[in-house]
Amino acid sequence: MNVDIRGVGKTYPDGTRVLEDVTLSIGSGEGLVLLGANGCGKSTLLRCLLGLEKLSSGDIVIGDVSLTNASGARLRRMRSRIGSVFQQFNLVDNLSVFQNVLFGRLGNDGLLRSLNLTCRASSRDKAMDCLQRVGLTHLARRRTDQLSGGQQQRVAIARMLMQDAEIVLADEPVASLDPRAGREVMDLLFEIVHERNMTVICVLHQLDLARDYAARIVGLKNGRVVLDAAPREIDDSCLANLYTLQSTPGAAVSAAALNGQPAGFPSAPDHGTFHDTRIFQR
Amino acid sequence: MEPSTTRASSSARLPSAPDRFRSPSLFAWVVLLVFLAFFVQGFSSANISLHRLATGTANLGSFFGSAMPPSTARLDVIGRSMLETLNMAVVGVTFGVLLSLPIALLCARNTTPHALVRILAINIVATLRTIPDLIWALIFVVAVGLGPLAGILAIIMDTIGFCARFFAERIEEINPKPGMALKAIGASRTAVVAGAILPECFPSFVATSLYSVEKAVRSAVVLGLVGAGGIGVELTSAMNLFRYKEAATIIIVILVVVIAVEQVSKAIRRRII
Repeated sequence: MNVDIRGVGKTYPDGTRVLEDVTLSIGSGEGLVLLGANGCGKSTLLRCLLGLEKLSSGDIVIGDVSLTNASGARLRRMRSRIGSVFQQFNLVDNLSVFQNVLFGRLGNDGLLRSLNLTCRASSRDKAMDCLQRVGLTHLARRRTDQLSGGQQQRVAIARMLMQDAEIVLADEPVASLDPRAGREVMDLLFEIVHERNMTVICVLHQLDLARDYAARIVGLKNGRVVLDAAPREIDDSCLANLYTLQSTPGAAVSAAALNGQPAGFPSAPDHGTFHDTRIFQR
Repeated sequence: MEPSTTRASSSARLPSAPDRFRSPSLFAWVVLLVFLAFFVQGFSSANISLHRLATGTANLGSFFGSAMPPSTARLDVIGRSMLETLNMAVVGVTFGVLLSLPIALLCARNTTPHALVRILAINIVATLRTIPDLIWALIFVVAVGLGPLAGILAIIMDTIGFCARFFAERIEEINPKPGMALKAIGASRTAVVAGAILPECFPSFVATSLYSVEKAVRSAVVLGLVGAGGIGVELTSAMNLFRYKEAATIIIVILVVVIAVEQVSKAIRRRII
């Protein structure tokens, strides 16, 4: 599915500008990696793509549906076509691996058809299929909080498979994993993505991973797109420039600078992490 | 340079340390005075004298003397009304917990549909909690007549006041991320609550409900004093008719049952958490 981000701007009510005139056109099956320093707007952009943030300006069109005017059931249907993989896995701890995978059907089938007790037999089979694809059928009955980080991220990928998503948004999917488990998860994720010709937007902080897996790298700085190229066209100075001190307005940054903190990673106002605490807005 | 000189010279530049004792503020003095006034007035109006305490102790001795040994003559009746007490507690708490769940969802900041609904729900729960169970029982005895139904209704009110508050506090403490992930999949509000929030809160809900059973058993014992069913009815009539041996049996039965319920609930809680 195509994703069209057209002149998107996002300003929070307190005046903090997070995104400014971001325009990106991502083709079906394209693998895009988003880079940028903390607070540059990457996670906010992902939240906007899921319709979890109201746009201040511009529009996002996914497939042929515009997010600007979508609300309620239509927005939920849209979200059901987008799979998300998070840094902290975000599984429901007290439930089994199997139930967590079944939850992938929530957007399509509703609550009752996504509970192990009441779902269709076909959903149960499909969930086992998805677990098999990520190699975890033997852990189906286990509670998710008993799993290692790498295993939990595999469960999250199985949940995304269960969803039959056409787009994958991954927010630092391997940031909580050790390098080896991280590679394994990235391999699995991109294998699946290529098998199914899914569109991927993946936020990463590891430049080597970005070069290895991306077909296209987009760099954000101060909420603007400052880099958009294939990995082989990008040299190190380009990337280093992404992480030099931004002229972000706000007391937090200047205070940090005064305290002699290393430049390059300003402590941006913590507005829109991908997992905001406000569950029930929009 | 000598270490001592370093210390001396640096302390010369230090601002002085806070005083050891700070005189209380005017507000603190007022609070203290009001407290003292209440205390003195309360103490004198209660007419406390050594003489009364001494005769009281003697009376207590003669009460225990006439209560021993406890009579086992009406043990079957006492057993039956103890069972009724337990029934009242269990039925009351079950309904109370079931009603507390939706109310808690309205009270919790992160699940309430609207801020005004939240304020309303919180105030209703606070009112339920503020009115003591005995007063609820008095009200329901007037409404539905003497017997266990009045007791059950009183326990329901009391349980909602307790459970809805603690459930709501637990819901407000949840990790929002799993719910967010379900929302990103396209889950409805109900699905987020049922799929992510309730499973996380479940162990704590069970623990709170068990506490509430313990609380309800204790209060069901007393509710009989105002005629709302249970073993309290037996206890008042035994005391009023000066059948102290029977009263002693009832008190021992209550003690055993309350301790047993607490132990069972503790064992279950330990397995869940």
